[in-house]
Amino acid sequence: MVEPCYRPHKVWDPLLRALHWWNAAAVLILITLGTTIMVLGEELPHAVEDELITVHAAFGFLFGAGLMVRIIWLFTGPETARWKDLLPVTAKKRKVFWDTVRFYGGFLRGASPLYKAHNPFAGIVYAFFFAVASVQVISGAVTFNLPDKLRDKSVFLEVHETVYFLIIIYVATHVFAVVVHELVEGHGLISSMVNGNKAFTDGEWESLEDD
Amino acid sequence: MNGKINIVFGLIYLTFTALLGPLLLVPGKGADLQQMMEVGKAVDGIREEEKTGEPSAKAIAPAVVGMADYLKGAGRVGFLASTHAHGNLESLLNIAAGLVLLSLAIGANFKALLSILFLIGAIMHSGMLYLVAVFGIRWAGNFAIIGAVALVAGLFLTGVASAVGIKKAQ
Repeated sequence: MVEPCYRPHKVWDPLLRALHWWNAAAVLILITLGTTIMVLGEELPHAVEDELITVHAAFGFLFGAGLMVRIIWLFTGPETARWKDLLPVTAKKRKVFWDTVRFYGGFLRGASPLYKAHNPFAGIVYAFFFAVASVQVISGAVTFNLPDKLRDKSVFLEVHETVYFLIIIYVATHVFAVVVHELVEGHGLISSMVNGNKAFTDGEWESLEDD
Repeated sequence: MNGKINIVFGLIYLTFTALLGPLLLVPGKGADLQQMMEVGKAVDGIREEEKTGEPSAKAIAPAVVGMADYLKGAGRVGFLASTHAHGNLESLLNIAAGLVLLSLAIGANFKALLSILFLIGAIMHSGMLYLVAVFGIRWAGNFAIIGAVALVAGLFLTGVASAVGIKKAQ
């Protein structure tokens, strides 16, 4: 049997990749610091807890900057970075969306759906993440500006802690799904977020060109 | 969105932020000289009483109230001056950023991103401070951080864009 010949095709622009890793690193640091503050907060000396909160807030602002740039990039970036690539707004994208649902429903049996950049099913989740992460940044910034006494009773802190769990679920699901898609599809999804290229056969690329 | 809008916005916005300069001189908008003199008189009264014994509450009260009022006014002036300074700087930053963006050899979508970041930066940072200082809309101050973050991101990315864009242009 002849092995299909895969060729690299540029899919992700440099800024999108830089923002992806910037935001990923920031989220991981924020989760680590946030978990430490939440779990050990009361056992730590007050000064140490305050320091941790300040560092957490500083990384929060760095994440906020990355998130803001990514959201603007949804409207000004190249085609594969835009909101239209994320959401199933065309008939073709809706078909890929439903194919993905069926693919997951059938426990990854049969041919995996073919798409150029974002999977529209995952795209909805990413759009939701952008919204949830924005809430997280705003609730964090407001909480940080409150005096200590008000901070503990604030509704913004409750929102911040609730969204923290949603983000942990998102990160775990995202990493799991990326690994599964990498193994099942074989388009080089993970490395594409480093070098920008996804691998497609000539036939696949031809069918994706009008995407 | 190639930088022109930042220059236009910067010049118009500068008109409004520069206007805060004369406003700082309007009596009653800030800490009054009169108020300061009254506090001085009250303190002199306390010193007089101190010479003969403990100063009375009647002498201390006007000094304390006067000082509190003066500090309140001084704080207001400080905030207005800070808005004036930040607004002017961010207007000039938009004009400068616009000129830089016009000259850089980078993609149109990257120029649009930087242009939007500087606009959001000025509107959400000094713009929000303006709403607080001039119109007393205090909740607006909570959003100033969004502008600050946008400005920092814009400056950093313009640095990257300059490194790429100036080399290409040469």
